[in-house]
Amino acid sequence: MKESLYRIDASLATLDYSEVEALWREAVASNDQKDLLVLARQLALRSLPVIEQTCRLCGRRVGLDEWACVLAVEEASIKLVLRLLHDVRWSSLGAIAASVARTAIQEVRPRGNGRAVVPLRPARRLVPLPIPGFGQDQRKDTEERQSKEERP
Amino acid sequence: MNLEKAFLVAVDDLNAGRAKPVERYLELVSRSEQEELADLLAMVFANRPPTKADTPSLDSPSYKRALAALDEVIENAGQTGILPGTLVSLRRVRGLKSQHVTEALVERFKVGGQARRLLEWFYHRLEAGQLAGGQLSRRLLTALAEIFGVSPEDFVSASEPIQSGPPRFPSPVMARSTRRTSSAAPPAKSEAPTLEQPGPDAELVRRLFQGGRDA
Repeated sequence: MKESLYRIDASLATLDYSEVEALWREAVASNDQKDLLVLARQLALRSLPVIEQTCRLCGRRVGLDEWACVLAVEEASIKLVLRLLHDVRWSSLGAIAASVARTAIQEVRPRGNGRAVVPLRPARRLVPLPIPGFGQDQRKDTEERQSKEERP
Repeated sequence: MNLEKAFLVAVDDLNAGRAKPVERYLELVSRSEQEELADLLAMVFANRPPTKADTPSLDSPSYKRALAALDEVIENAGQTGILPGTLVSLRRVRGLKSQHVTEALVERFKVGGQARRLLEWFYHRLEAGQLAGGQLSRRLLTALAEIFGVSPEDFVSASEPIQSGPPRFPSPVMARSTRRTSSAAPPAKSEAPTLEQPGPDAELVRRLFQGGRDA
């Protein structure tokens, strides 16, 4: 679906924010889940500047570091899409985006157990494969150095 | 610079489409006035519609991550709606393992004994998108919503099944790769753990995950 999402992004790129919102309201009224999802994502993407600015502002006030703010932006953008799947009682996308961002800051701010903010580990990492004959000298050196250090 | 002047500078920049990172404006005032300026700017951000001038840099780390997160949520939409992708993404952002979520569910529903394994199995299937979204109980969705700090309605609508097929929007004609776009095979279905003594707790777990909204 990723490729088709980007094609849809391209087709919606020429539309003004209010036109996208009108399409979104149409999709909500007709309960067209697929269109609704695509348009909610589009509105959330267009709200990212508001989310980012709000997270930085509020994050700074509660002492969040840069990384925690990035996580809050991520959480807020997901939550805004969730909200736009069903909530039509808003008149300003900026207001709803800022409100979701403020809530996300409260959720992401560090807690006592430190579990809330954990840096992402890369999904893949390089694993050094042993190559026959390569690096043996270095290993020997390291072992010798370690054994010397262990000696009293 | 006093508070009022700094605020006007920020608003001018925003209106002219040359907004700087908010820290730059906060640095213009004294520490005691920073909170007030932050409140004023938050109100401005909340009350103006997004404009093209606000488009963040594609190189910004938060934009890249948010875009990737939204893709992760949406690209695996299926019979459980976008709930599986949402759960996985929110869990990742919070640094939670699935075990943390199942432990919270076990505690919430007072599930004991062997039924815990069944709950873990069902939750794994939920994140893998192997359960019918319409069969998830409202009680379960409410409990999950509380864990992740969203409203229950958010998760109810997120779990609505998404039909496969292209959206109706016109796509611009572009060169396409010859790769199959939807080549991802559905994950192999695993068998439910066999319980020696399926008791009322196991029945509760089944109802939560497969009993329908009112179960």
